[in-house]
Amino acid sequence: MNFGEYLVDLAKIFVSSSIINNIVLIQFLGLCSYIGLSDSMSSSIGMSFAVIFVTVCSSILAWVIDHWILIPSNLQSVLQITSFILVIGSFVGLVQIYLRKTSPNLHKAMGIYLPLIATNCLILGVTFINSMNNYDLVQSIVEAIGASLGYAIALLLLVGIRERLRDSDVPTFFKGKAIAFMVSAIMALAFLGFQGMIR
Amino acid sequence: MKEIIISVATLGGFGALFGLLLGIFNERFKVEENPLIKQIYDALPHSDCGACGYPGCFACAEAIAVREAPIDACSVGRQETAKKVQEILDKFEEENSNNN
Repeated sequence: MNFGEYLVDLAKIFVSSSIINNIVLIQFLGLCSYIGLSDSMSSSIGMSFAVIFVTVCSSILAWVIDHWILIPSNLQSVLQITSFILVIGSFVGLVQIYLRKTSPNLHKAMGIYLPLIATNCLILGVTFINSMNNYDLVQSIVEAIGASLGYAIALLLLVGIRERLRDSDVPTFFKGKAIAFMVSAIMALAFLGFQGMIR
Repeated sequence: MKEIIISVATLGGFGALFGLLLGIFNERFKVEENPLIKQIYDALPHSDCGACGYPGCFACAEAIAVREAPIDACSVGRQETAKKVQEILDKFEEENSNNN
């Protein structure tokens, strides 16, 4: 494969991971923070940046661990989950300490969802997608950026819709999170329209 | 046997590395906290049950410290905890009035 084809391949991975196989709306990963944080704009922007940082850093390190230690020693099936979670948890710890110092209000607004990035299936999912598709380091980074940007897109779309829903006349049964789930289902249907763009 | 050694070395090594990194980071980005919160937190039962409506005992202690929650917010600790919290708050207020 020459360099041009490789770049096209990277672009395909990026578009596929951010829009076509959107991590939230098509693969249904990372839904807890997606629903939980989508009622305020500032905290969801902060969350998006936190997720992008953690996903990219941990997928780099997870690739290194996977390819330099686990595959040569044939321990991939045993140690993969444990070592990936260790890496992700550590980066989440870093983000948490940093946010507590630099913007305490954002730290407070994100509340329990910030430490919960550690168990957010999105990030573990991205590291597993990288591992399953045998991506090299650059491809893994592109996949991680694409997937976390896809999360940010889905989250910010839902925040915009929920801010308008707050002022509209929603039936009493559906107020709050119930209508958010319905809206996400419709958004997922809309995103299904991108299927088949790249094969 | 080889696998076990590799597993232990990998996870132990990375664990130690990240622990060190987080420790250094924590020292560099230290936040000065209200000492009152710490005192109230010590008086609470540390069960993190969430019955008070706050995510964990620390958040509850913060709310009590700014008088957002009542002193008997913790339903697990009952009267004893409320009494202890009351004592801490009284002491704190006394010190403050002496300083002013």
